[in-house]
Amino acid sequence: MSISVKNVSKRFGNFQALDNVSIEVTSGCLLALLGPSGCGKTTLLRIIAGLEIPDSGSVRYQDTEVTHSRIQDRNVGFVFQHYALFRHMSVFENIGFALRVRKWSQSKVDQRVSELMHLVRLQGMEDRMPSQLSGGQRQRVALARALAAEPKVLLLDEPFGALDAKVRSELRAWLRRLHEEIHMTSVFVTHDQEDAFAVADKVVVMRNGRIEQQGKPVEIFEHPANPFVMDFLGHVNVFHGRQENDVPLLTGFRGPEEGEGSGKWVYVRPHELDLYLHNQVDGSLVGTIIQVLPVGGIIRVLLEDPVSTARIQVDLHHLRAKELLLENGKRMWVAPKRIRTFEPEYSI
Amino acid sequence: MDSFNGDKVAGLSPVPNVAAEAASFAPPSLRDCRTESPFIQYTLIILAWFFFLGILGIPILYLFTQAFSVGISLFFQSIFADKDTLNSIFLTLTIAPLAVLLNTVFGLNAAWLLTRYRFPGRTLILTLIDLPFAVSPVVTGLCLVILAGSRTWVGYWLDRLGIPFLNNTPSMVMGTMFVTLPIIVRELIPVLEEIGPEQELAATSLGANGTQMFLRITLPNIAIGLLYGVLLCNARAIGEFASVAVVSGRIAGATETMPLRVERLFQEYKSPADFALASLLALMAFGTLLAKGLIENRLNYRHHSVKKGKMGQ
Repeated sequence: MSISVKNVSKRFGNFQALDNVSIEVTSGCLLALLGPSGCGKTTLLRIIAGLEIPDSGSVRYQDTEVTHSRIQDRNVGFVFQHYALFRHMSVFENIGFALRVRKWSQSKVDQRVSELMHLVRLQGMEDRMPSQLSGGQRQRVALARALAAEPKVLLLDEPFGALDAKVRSELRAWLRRLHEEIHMTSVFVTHDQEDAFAVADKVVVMRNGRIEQQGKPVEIFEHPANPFVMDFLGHVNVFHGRQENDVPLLTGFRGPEEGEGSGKWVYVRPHELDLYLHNQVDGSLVGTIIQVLPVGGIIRVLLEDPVSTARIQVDLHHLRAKELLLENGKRMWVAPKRIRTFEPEYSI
Repeated sequence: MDSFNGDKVAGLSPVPNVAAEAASFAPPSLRDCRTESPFIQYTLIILAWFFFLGILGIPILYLFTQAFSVGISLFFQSIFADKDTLNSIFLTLTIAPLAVLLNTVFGLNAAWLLTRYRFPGRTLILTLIDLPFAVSPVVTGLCLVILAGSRTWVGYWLDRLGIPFLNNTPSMVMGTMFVTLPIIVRELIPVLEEIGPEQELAATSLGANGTQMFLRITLPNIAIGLLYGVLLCNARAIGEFASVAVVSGRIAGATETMPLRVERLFQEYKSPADFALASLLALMAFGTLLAKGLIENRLNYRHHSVKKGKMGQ
């Protein structure tokens, strides 16, 4: 079932939480609302769920207008940020709650709950209390509970927020697989770009109650619409400069011509820079290595521009790094493989 | 867990029964955890015992010795042979439960409203809800007398509709309610704050209606706190004197509750009947305290077993 949000605005006192926001979630799509805290992503999710009523605008599920209908009438599955498991009930009763209030027979409840326990891989834990579960298990109970009454839409508020890094990445992969299995229209909120990119079919980047950009993860990552999105999606080197003959010019640093955009500031991701022992590329920038860090599969090199003392971060493949014999204090030439330029923005 | 019980915590046996659990919360030994000089330690301990015995223990003990000094049979006779005394017991057992019931309904409503919603005047209500603790119950009684007096419109309408109020049970229930109003609310607010609205929202999102949400989620979560509040409220309601004394008119055999009856018997030098009834009142209070203690114990035990479960992970 598709979700369509049109021109929704919401204000809390003097705070404009949402300002004329519209999104479309196609049926079976897994969409991520991504943004820093206070950007309105949770408010938007709560409006989609029916936990908040928008000041203006409308929410539709497929062809049904639901803007003003209550959450209990919408048949949505909602996973709360801290799971909100019923502390006084066992895992079984937590998951079966939606069925109990719908007055299902005991045998049908048994059957459905055991199906769900299997789906979230918690078989054998029916009698545990929530306080006896780990964070990841609680999250899966919350998910199973939300799915029990076969909702048409699944909404998740910061589903990985309270988990440590390892459990987090496992659950991300698992949630993605689960989505492939059940193909339910889902929206989740996150402030972590990795969450969004690892799981979602479509990402909506928000800031200050507005949508900055929406699209497929690859699209957004490859073609960020503005410096905010570029900056939010990961580390980026910013070179303040000016343009000369339509070519962005930095402190002696000339980018290749396939660059994107037409602004004065040049944005280059760390993995899109390369290091050279000699001035091989026209307009390279000279930098002194101040730190070499192996981070996972890549080598992260921090350089300092001796003129402006600006720091530059370069991520190299470890084979390339070996070739260059990196060491602190060594002078290298930095040249981009790809650049984007934007007009300067001061409001970040 | 066993290693905890196993080490030398006052040599307790590691049997996980309620009594042992409760006892293990007591400080293991004075010398282990105090650094004050023995002189200060013992002065403080003696002071504590002095106040406890001097103000609470000895008077109550004396009350019971006086009441039973004439023998068990006379004790019971002085209570159950007097029609007016019996009536006062019956009246107290009517008024206290009624006041507690009404205050429970009000307390649940008010506590839920005050913790779950922000509305104009909320802070004012939160402040004023303690008023009955601060105002003397005599004032409360007088307020009711003035309000329902024959010269006011309230009194006029009560009279027109033929509702007996002053010098009758309704006003006594109201006086008791007024005095015990904050107790249950005060017990429930912190509990409701602590559990937060998320579980209730989750229940709603799963399709529960208001009643289902309250009965299946809110109530089980606050049950212990509510029971605790009800017991305290009950103890206070049974003993209420001043406000009831003012509104009841103190008609012997009709509007006299147990505390009022005790006072009358005392004024009329009817000893040991006054001591007997007073000790019955005290016993009721002890019963309440005992129930409270049992609940607390169960609560501690439950918390404890939850922690155990976590440690087992």
